[in-house]
Amino acid sequence: MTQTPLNQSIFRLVVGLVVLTALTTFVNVWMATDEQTREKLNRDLSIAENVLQRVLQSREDLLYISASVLTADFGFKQAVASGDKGTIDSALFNHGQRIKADLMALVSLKGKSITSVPATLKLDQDFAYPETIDKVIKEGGYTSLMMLNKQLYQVIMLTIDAPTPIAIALVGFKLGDPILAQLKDITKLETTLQVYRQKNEIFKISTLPDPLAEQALAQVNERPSWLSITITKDTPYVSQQFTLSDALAHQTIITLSEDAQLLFADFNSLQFNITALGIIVILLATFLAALFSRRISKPLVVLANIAKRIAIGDYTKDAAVLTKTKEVSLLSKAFSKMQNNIQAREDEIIFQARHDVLTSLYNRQHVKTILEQRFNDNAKFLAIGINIFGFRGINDIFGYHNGDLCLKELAQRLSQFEGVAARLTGGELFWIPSEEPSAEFIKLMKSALEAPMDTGDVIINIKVALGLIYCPKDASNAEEVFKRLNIVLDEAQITRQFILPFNAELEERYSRRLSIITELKHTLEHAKDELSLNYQPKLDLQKGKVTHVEALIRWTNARLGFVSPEDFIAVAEQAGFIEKVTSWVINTAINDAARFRDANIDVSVAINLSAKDIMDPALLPIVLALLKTKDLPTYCLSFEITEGDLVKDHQKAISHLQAFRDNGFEIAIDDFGTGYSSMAYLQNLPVNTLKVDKSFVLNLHEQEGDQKIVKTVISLAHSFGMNVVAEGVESIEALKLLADWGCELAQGYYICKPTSADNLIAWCNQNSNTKWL
Amino acid sequence: MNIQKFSLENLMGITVTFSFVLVAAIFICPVALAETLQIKDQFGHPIENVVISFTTTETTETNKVDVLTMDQIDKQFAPQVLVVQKNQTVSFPNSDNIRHHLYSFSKPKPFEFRMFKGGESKKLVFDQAGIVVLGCNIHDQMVGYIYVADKEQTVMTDAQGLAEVPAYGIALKLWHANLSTNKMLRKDIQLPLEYNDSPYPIVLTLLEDMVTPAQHTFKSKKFDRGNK
Repeated sequence: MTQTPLNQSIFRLVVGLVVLTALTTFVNVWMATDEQTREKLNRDLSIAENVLQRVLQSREDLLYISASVLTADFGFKQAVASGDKGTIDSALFNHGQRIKADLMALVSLKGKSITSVPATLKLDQDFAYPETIDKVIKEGGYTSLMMLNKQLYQVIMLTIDAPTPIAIALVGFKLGDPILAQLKDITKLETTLQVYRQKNEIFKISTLPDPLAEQALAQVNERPSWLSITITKDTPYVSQQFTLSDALAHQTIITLSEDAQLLFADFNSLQFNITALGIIVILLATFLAALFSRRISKPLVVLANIAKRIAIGDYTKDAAVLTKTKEVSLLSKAFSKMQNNIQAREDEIIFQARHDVLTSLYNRQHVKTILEQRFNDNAKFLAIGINIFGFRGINDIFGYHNGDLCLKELAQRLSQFEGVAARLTGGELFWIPSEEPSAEFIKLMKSALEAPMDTGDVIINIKVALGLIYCPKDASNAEEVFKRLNIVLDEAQITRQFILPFNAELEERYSRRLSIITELKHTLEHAKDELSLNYQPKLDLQKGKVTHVEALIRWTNARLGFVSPEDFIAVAEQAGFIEKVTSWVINTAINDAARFRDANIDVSVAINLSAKDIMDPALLPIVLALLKTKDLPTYCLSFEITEGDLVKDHQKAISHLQAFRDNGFEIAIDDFGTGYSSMAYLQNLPVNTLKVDKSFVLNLHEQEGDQKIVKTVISLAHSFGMNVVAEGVESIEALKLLADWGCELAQGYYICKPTSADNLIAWCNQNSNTKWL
Repeated sequence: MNIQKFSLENLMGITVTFSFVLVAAIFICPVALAETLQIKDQFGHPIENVVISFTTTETTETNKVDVLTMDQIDKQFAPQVLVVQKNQTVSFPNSDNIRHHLYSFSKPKPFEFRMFKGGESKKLVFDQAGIVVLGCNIHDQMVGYIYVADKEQTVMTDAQGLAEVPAYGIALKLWHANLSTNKMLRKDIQLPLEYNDSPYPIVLTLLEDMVTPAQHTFKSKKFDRGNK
């Protein structure tokens, strides 16, 4: 649909209306004036006709009076009675003069002309209209139009009574050009008079010259069109005809003609005026409509431009438009308000977009922008990541409400330091100090941040780790800053170095850890054959035969090559998927245990469990179920745990371990002697074996210190009713010493290196009769 | 009868006048009047004042010295028609208390004289036979006739159109003002020898609507425009 500008629409509407009105007016006036002119014409002609009749009537009255005075005159009567022609003629002439008659005559009662002045009637001839004589005698008089001697007369005939009629006096007045001129003077119309006898014209006079008179007569009763009058001009006269008299076999017809030009002159000038007025009005309306529509549309265009400006987010200009139109003014005010509101909302949105909702610190996105800005400016600055230790734990323990309060408080504290403060995620804050702080200042700040927090409900003690990234040395863009902060904070958390500056080594380690995580997950899912279990026999020193084996996981990754279990187990623990590894190990170990049994090798397979595994209540049922499927007794499987695994949630760990013990599983504490095991908890631990760390055993026969420790541990274990396993036995000397000291089991290269299940079966078969001591 | 009636009505008439009239009546009417005529117009109305003249063998000499009277009463001639014998004198008194201007343009006796209020009677001798039309120049409606007879006997119809003639079989001349435009026309009638019924009917065709000039209808009429 094509759209028309408003001003054009208004303009068209107004001009259209005016044109329509003007045309309507014009047509109406045209028709009305035309009609009126025609009516006027009819009226004029009717009036003229009446006037003419009146004029002739009064003339007739006058004639009658004059003639009757004549006929009543005694002297005249006397003259007539005397028959003295001379006297009669003179009397007639005399009276004719008095009344200005054109014809005076005397007719006998028998209709013979007696005398005529002038000699219009021939003497002694019969009167031209004999039928009138009787009428005259009967009625005393008669009047009519008569053609006498080829002239038209208005004639009065009266008896001359002496006292009875003795003769007839005839008085005639010529109807000629002078009388027509007079009539024209009165009616202002051209007058033509025609006399017909038996439809033949016998007489005609007119105020019009002959050719015009002919034309007027030809167009009698024709009502010319406006066109013919104003343009073609072929109807010069508008005429109306009426019969003046139809007596004595003569028809007298009057034609009144009005000059069409004159008649329609007013009409034409009115039409001209109306047309001119219409054109002026249309021009004026066009001008005013243009002005008006511009006045309406101009502010609208301005408003439209303002709206466009607002659309692109420019709120700097005032949206008020100067206008005299109320609606436009309202619109303009609405625009102003809209602009302000949009601006306010946009500010709010921008604030929300840039700030963290909870803490009102900048969010990660905005900090990224700020960082990029700084990098663009080639600024040198320090970025500090602040991580709350165990923030998830705080949420778990104290609830999200308190967790939030904690974060808010921390944000509040951070904001007090000069610089850019932000919250990156969860319990991770970020700070760019305005000036590079000293190491002391950072320590002070850390302790200020770690001040106990009173949430109203509880007092929470938090611990934070600070990772320091020196830009642009440590990172060259925002993403790198975040990535390295992650690395350094991870490291800080793992290593418990609470203020840790970034270095490249950290990133390498981190990268490797990431690779390990990625690859290990892949392996567990799709390439389990990369994993294998090696078994290292444990020699029972009293029986002189292998009774236990330790299952040791081996992972040779396609990309990373051989990865030490120390590396990937820790990573899997940290990454939270150690249970998948454990699950694989348990499955594989139980399968292998079944194979060992089937090969008549009676060994208990020891599996290393992580702290997480211990805490998993589902582990025990799974293990039992698997054993059952292989129809293996519980002593075929045993577990090794490290001291560190037991530090957290001690009671739960103990109860879980107890459950294992109750089901007949042996449990050993691995790497004993390297941690900080207290005697008190050792006493309560549901374990039956201590495994002396190999660092004490490797050089046992050469190191007296180690010998003392090992001896003590053995006696300690025995005093708690536990067995002792020594690993790292690499010489016969060490083996002998251990055997002497009453150590129950020995494990090490001297006996056998860790090896695959197949090799182990072969090795066991080979060494079934070996005397180890 | 007409005369008698007239005389009786004219109570103011002088005794002398009365006696003249009476005498005249005796002279004019012969002794042997026997047959009655009735004259009606073409419409069957009886016509008064028809002068019937005839000649009988036994002619009676009229006393020409007798003076007859044509009075003017209430702006009318009285009587309207007066029959006189040739050379008889007619007296014109004026019984109105206004003036009159009597005239006649008739050939037997053209005259003109003015009558004054209470003036003397004028006397005229009508020495030629014929019809004399009398008019008054002041009062157009006054029209009177004096029938001047030449030796013949005359009678006049009364209001019933009745008149008596001596016998059937004689020739009559009838005159009435409306018989012709110029008032001069007399109509000859030959009576049958016998007629059983009486009166004998005679029809006279009079001019229709003959009116006096004062009653002219023309003035109120319009110009003759035929149908218009």
